[in-house]
Amino acid sequence: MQEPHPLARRIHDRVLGLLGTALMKTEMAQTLGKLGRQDEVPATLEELRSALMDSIVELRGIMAELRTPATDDESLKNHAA
Amino acid sequence: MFSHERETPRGSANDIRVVLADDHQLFRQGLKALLELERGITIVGEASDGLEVQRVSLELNANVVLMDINMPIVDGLSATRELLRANSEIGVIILSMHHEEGHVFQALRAGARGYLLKTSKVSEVAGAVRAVASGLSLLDPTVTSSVVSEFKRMSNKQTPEDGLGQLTETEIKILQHVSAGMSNKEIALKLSLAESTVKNRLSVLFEKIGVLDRTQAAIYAITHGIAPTAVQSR
Repeated sequence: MQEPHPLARRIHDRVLGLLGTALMKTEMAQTLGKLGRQDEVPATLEELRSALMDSIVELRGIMAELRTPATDDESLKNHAA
Repeated sequence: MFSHERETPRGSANDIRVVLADDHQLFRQGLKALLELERGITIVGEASDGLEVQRVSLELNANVVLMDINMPIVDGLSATRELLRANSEIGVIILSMHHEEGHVFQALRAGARGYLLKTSKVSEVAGAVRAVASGLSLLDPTVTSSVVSEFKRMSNKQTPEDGLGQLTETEIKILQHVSAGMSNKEIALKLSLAESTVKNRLSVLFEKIGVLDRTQAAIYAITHGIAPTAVQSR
């Protein structure tokens, strides 16, 4: 099988992994609610938030790596001048 | 978090013994907590890499392993191959974010009996655990069509002389029982053979029909019209 692009690998290994965890946490919060264990829901939501925050950090890192001179604001300004 | 003291007594001797292998600890924790709410399933161990999962599964006598593909040290596909070499009775279900058919085929070739996406609901994962523990195979509906297309292509290329004609009467019976989801032990009982004899005959059979594992053999039986119908099976 063809070796994936390093960024595709990073998106899979980190971002999708974190989003998978986030999905799991939403299901956990729903299940806790159904079981009447509301006192445990806030901690689960905190873990969900943490997984989503980590996803955002990863995506920002990937966007920074993808930034080329042509898409960079400074570069566009210089080009216009 | 998610303590079990409010649950009914757990870990009965008849429970399906499951090992979770994933390098994302939070994902593992969540899956464990939710699966343990399911009747008849006990999480006996966890692993965060492909080497640890082999040791833990064998030591704790797992029935089913839920295995991620991307793991450190040894990946989930290699770990599956090695684990099944040590104990072919363990049912491995790949639980991955990969939906590409290449990964699915690699997983089936490695001997996995299930392939689910991590976007599956826990009730679906629990269903797959029960199915695989009872000797059946299960694929995520989103990857099934590509697998069916691939095996259709394979079966179109084959002729009856490709291997079916070379099978003895007993081998055909074994193949039928494999396609019905029976374990070696069950086949041995059914045909009054030793379990080791069934294992040996299966290796010869796989070679004759050109397949690598039970899943491929079952699909071969279906595509060649020798699999028993649902009424006949078991």
